[in-house]
Amino acid sequence: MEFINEIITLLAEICQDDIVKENPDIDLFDAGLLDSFGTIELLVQVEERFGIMVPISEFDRDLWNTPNSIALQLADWK
Amino acid sequence: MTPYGSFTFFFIVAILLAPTIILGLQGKRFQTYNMFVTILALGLIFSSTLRGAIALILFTIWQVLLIKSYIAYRKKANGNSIFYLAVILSILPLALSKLMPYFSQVNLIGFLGISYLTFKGIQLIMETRDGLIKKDIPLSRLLYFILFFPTISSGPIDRYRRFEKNFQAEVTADQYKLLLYQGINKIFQGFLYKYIIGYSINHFFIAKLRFYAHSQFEHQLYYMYSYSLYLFFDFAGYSAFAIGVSYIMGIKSPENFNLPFISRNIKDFWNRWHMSLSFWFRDFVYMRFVFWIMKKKWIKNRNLVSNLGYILLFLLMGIWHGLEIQYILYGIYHALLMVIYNSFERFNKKHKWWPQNKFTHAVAIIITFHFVCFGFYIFSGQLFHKGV
Amino acid sequence: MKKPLFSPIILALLVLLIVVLIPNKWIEGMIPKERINQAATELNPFMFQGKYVQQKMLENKHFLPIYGSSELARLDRFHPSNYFKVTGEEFTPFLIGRGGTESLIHLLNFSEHTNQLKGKKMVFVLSPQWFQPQGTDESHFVPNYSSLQGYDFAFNQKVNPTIKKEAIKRLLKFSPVKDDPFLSTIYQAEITNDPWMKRKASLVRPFAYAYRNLLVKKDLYYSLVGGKPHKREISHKVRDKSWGKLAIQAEKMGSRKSKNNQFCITNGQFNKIKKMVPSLKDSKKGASYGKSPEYDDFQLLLDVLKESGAQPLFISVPVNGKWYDYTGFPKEGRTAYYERIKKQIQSQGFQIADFSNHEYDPYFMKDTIHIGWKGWVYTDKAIKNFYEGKKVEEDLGRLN
Repeated sequence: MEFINEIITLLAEICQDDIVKENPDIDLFDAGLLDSFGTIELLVQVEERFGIMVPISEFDRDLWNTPNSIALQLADWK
Repeated sequence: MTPYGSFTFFFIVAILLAPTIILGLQGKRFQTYNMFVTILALGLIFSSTLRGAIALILFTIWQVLLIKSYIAYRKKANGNSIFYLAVILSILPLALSKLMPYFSQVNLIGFLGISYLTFKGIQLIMETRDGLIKKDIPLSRLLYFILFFPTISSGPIDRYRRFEKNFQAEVTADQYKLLLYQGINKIFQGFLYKYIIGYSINHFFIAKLRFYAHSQFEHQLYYMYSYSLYLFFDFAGYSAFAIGVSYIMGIKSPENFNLPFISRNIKDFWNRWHMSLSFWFRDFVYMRFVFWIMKKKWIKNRNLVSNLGYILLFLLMGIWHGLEIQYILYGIYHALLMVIYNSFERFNKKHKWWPQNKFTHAVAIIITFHFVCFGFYIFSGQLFHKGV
Repeated sequence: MKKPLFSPIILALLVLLIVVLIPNKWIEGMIPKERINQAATELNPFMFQGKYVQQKMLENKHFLPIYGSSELARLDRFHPSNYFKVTGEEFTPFLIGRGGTESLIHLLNFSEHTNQLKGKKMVFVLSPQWFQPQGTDESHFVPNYSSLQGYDFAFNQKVNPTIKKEAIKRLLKFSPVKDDPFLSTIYQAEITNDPWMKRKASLVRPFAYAYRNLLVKKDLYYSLVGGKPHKREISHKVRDKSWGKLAIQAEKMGSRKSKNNQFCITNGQFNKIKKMVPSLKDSKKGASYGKSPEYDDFQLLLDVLKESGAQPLFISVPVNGKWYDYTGFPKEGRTAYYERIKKQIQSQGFQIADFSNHEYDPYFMKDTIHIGWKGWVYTDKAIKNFYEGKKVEEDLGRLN
């Protein structure tokens, strides 16, 4: 649970919007909160802070679309 | 024979795919038969030029050797230089075929679809590097993926892991029914787009522009908009054919267009226009470039990194279309639009200068449409050889 | 989209099947007899590229076919279609041709009907502009080429093999023939001794024949639908007038309609080119219609007409002299054409109405290149004489 919260906090930083915390099931790409650049920031930060290395080609926008699903996917990669 | 270029082609494909449909509707596997169909169809497509057929065979051997060796290497080691070398060797035939016309009368290397097949090759190498393709790929399946005939000439550009999923899936009779239905729908959408709307725009308007336009300026203006619409309907129609035939063969080739003319900004446009190409460039050029710069922390300014990424992406995309001046300018134009829009977006996030409502949304669509059309006008080359 | 529904596609295939399999006789039965009369002045490109309507027209003695190109659409009151209609002549001109229908296109069309041309009187209007140094090109050939006629030509046994081979060599230069996998194979087999090519052609021939039958059917459907009437002037003011009076009337009309320029070009046409006029001055220096592959194409056409026993009258249309002088197009480049074409036609024993001395005759031409007004009056007279079996050449000089 803590891990998920940490990820969501990180996402809120990257998206510069607290809506991520309020609604963790929001589609980040549809809402225009996250784009390719944000995705990379996320992957770089995840690697630096948590030591999780996710290949770019693994980041499928259909599966990594909401804060919750991103957190779950990352938990899988841990 | 040009794929989807004549009624004869559709007729032959319909006959070739009849067994696939019968097998599919009975819930039986049909991919082995499809491989056989692909061989026949390739023979048909490339039968008109022996040179093209030879070039295709040599190219395929080259890519397959490269991919197979890289996968074998990657199991043991993961050196940077070998990876770069593999990518360069994968691009080499395409680069040569683009440069060839400047040195020789006949282009020995080029063939229909070389640029699209190259994308598949590079992508396989990159995903192997990322450790996403670990196991050796059976030769027949690798060939089938690279040479899958419905998309051979102009995409959509599929991804191997996605393709493999469809390939291995057990399709029930009911699932196949739906696939068949969607496929037929797509093919008829293609007829509507390419052979009714696209054809009409070209035949009744573009070809007769001199009767409608009263001055050189009007002529160019009408050409710009009609060519843009023509380009969309022609290419989206083609893509619909390719996707439709793929579906009937049990492969869900990715979409290529999603109503591009209602894009509300240039970023949105590239998520809707020739999607399989722009996503390829996004994933394998832009994102990798940004990732690399950020990780090495060479440039701190995020805005600058992002803009450099866009410039690289669109310059490459321009050059990929061809080395002619209009394609390079087209790339530069879109790079500029992206950089400007990027700055605007950042500015707007802070100052909330451009509100979000129905009216501004409509205005945004109209503005984007005109900028996009001007891009196609550059792309058409009309600026550089007037009167031809 | 969730629920698969196949009935529409099955229904569509069924309809297609019916449309394709319905016997030709039934469709022919549905085509109204009036269609041929209507087609005479419709200038419908589908009819030019088709077979049925022209076949019916040639069967009927009442029609006089006039082959040509864009000038045929200048349907003013002096145009043969109006003149012979209102003067109650026993024949009706039937117009075949539009911009770009040059020798090769007409050649294919004539070959389609070789067995109907024996003793058939017809008029053929030439244009000097066909005889460009490179001959006809894609932009003229493609829109006018007829697949049906192209395929029929492949199966045609009546045209002299030497002529056929020469024609095929020329036709293979153009994309609709070259890029047609069936047709190009059969054509190539005709002009080569390569046994592999011959075998390939015999393999393709049944498919080509089936496709040809589809094209025949398509032509019948197009004939069933018909075209739409072309805008034309029907005026009785040309009735009961001597040729001399008609010429005066034509001159008056011409001077009324071309007031804004010194070239005797209609106002409307001149307005279209007005902006470009200064840039066109002396732009055609050194040009000539004297040398062109079109002469060889035209010779093939003459050969086919000769072989089939047709009786054509050729109309040699001049250019607008004033305009051509302005663009710097040399006189020698024009006369070289007039003389060469005349010789070529006469050496076949065909008649020619040579109007090349009317280059500077005001209102003979309607614009820079198209015959009109007074030009039609002369043409009408030549056609009338020709139809009545008189020697056309002897009675061209003056209208009285």
